Formats: sequence, structure tokens, C-alpha cells
Amino acid sequence: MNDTKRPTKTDTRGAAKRQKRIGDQLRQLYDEVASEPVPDDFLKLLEEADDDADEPGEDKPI
Amino acid sequence: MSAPNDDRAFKAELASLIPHLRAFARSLCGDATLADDLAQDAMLKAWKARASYKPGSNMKAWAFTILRNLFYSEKRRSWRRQPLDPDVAEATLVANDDPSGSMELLALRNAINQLPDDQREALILVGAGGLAYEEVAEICDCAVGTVKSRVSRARKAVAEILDANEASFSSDDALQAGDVFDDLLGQVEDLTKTA
Repeated sequence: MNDTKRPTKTDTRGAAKRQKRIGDQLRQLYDEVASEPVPDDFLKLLEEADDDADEPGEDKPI
Repeated sequence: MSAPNDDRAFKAELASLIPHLRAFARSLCGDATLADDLAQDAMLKAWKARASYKPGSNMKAWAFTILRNLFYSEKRRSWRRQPLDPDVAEATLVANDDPSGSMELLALRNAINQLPDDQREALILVGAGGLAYEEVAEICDCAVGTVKSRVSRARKAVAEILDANEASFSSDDALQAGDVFDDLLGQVEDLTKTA
């Protein structure tokens, strides 16, 4: 948008700090989901998955 | 064909990756229910394709590749990303009881949603998924340098989007409050003039 302004040293330091914060929050977003208990249907589906590898065929409709 | 023991070990390792498949899927499609559909499909596809997995290589990167390809290839599927409805986002913001951390997280999620697909996935995989640039390059089928530049552009864009949103929120509020005040003043003036 308005990147006509040349960044000063303080801006650069602020930006680095900012990026670190964004990075931390990004991981937080991901970890929030990753640390949820796995829904039962996932494990059930995998448990029940048959042993035929690379089976061709249509995807099931939603 | 693989031995039953290998299959069992594969299944166990794949099961341990489910949380990551869910997290990656959520970052791609936003909506939690649709993301789980995508993650489940990817999990089953990975199971069926287990013969193509090289033992000893990074199974997370391998499974992410499957999930990502599934996401992009099936264009008509409902878990294809839909733009976050601004009204819904705003309602969530307003309804949120914990303004400290989660408002910021929501703003970040909103900003990530606005990134182009290629930048978003690179940022998520490197920044949150804990994958190396080289692994992400393989997942996204592009050069390592391309991943690096996408991540760096994504970081910059996210900061800009967050800045722009902050600016528009505060200036909107100020403008509206100011308008109301001016309006009131005008009415008072009119009243005093006619009195």
C-alpha cells in the first residue's frame, strides 16, 4: 500500500519484533488444532480401512 | 506387497500424524468441519498409497503432499477454501469474551485467509508445521528459493493486512463518533437559532 516511506532503524527493529510475534501466533493457531483430541471417527476410519492398497474407484460423495 | 507388520507400523505412524493433518487442513480451508473431511480423505488416501511411501523418509511431509494435492485437485469439493465472510468474522470478533489473545489470533487468521494460496501454504508449513524449506519445496512442487520468497512475501503481506485492518477499525470508530457529535452540535445550533 504506502511503501513510499523509507524504513528507519527503529522501524526495522519494530518489524522484526512484529514478525516474531506473528510467527508465535501462527504456531499457536496451528498448535491449537494439533493439540485437540483426535475425533473418534478418524481413528475408527483408519482402523477399519481395509488392506487393499491403491484401490481405484470413485471418491465417495459428500 | 508390504508385510502385515509393516502395514501395522505404517498405520500407527499415520495415526500419530492425524493432529498435523487436521491442523494443516484447517489452515487450508478455514472451516473446521470441512477441514476434517479433507484430513480424513487425505488420511485414507495415504493409507491406500502406502506402497509409495519410502520407509525412513519424513512421513509428515509425504502425507502433507497428499493432503495438499487433494485440496487443489478436487475443485468442486465443498472443502475448497471459501473466502471468510467479513460479517461472520466481525460477529466472532464482537462475540469474543477474551479480547487479549484470541482477538489477535482471529485477526491473524483473517489476514492469512487473504493471502494467495501459494503464499499461505508456504507460510503455514514453514512457520507452523515445522517443516524445512526443502521439504516444503517438495510438498509444493517448486524450488527451495521459491518457497523462501513466498514465505517472505507472505510475512510482509500479513503484517500489512494487520496494519491496514487496525487503521481502518480505529479510524472508522473515530469517524463515526465524530460524525455523531457534529450532527448533535448542528442540531443544537439549529434549535438555538430557531428558539
